[in-house]
Amino acid sequence: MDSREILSQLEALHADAFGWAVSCCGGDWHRGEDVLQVAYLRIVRGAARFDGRSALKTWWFGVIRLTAFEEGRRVRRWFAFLDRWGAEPEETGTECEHEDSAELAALGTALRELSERQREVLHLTFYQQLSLSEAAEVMRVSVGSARQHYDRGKRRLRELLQNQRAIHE
Amino acid sequence: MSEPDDDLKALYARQRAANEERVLEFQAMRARALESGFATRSDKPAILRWAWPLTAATAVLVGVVAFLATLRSPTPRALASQDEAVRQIEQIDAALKMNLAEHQSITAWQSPTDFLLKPINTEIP
Repeated sequence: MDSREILSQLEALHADAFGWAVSCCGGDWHRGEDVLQVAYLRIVRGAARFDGRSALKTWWFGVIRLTAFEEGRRVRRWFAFLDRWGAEPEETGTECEHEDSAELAALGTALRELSERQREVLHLTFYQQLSLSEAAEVMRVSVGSARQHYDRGKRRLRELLQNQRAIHE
Repeated sequence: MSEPDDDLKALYARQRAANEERVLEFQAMRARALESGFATRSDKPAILRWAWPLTAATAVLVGVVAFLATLRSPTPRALASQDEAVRQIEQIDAALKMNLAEHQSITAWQSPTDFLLKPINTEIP
């Protein structure tokens, strides 16, 4: 697969990649954009190369996930620095602030209550419509482990959504 | 995924639609990535990133060492004339002679018990 073909496939996957980046950043749109931008830069600079051993989508999602992890660590260090000096960190754009839909706001809140793995597997299967084995490849875990996170995550997400409905009713 | 998951599927579909409204165009994001990347971020190896500062620091260090070296080793003053050179040589010669005379008086002195150190029967008849 030559670079032009990869570029056109990345363009086709762009909206999905954005959704995945936002999910990897805990629903923060601004950070999701930044992460996706850095991930694109890695490809341009050759720091991330597609070797064809897996599907392009799973490889690309793996790159985004790793980038989000590294950027998250950098942001946490920055916040820790600000905390030490008593400064107020800038507000981040989360789904809760921007969603006009109460249901989506509830989903965002509930997702933040899940573990990272549970959130990832549910996003990859429900949002991205990947199979469990593809999700496991992106998450770099076994299929069995992905299934466990999937089952527990689904159950927990339903509980959290029901609790929120009960509070609002 | 089974049929009872339809509720979650529907929720995620709405989340997807909301995200798609916000997503920047691919070309715009790519351009922004390139722009910001070349301006601020660097994925170069650390050694390349430090090459210029290291070179500059080394150059400054070499300059300082060279400056100190020139301060510590002044070149001998050139003699003004031949007469002055002769006068200096005479001064040095006089100082040497004085020094030798002082040493002469010390070496001439003999201890009164020195004769005991002389070996017996070594005098030439």
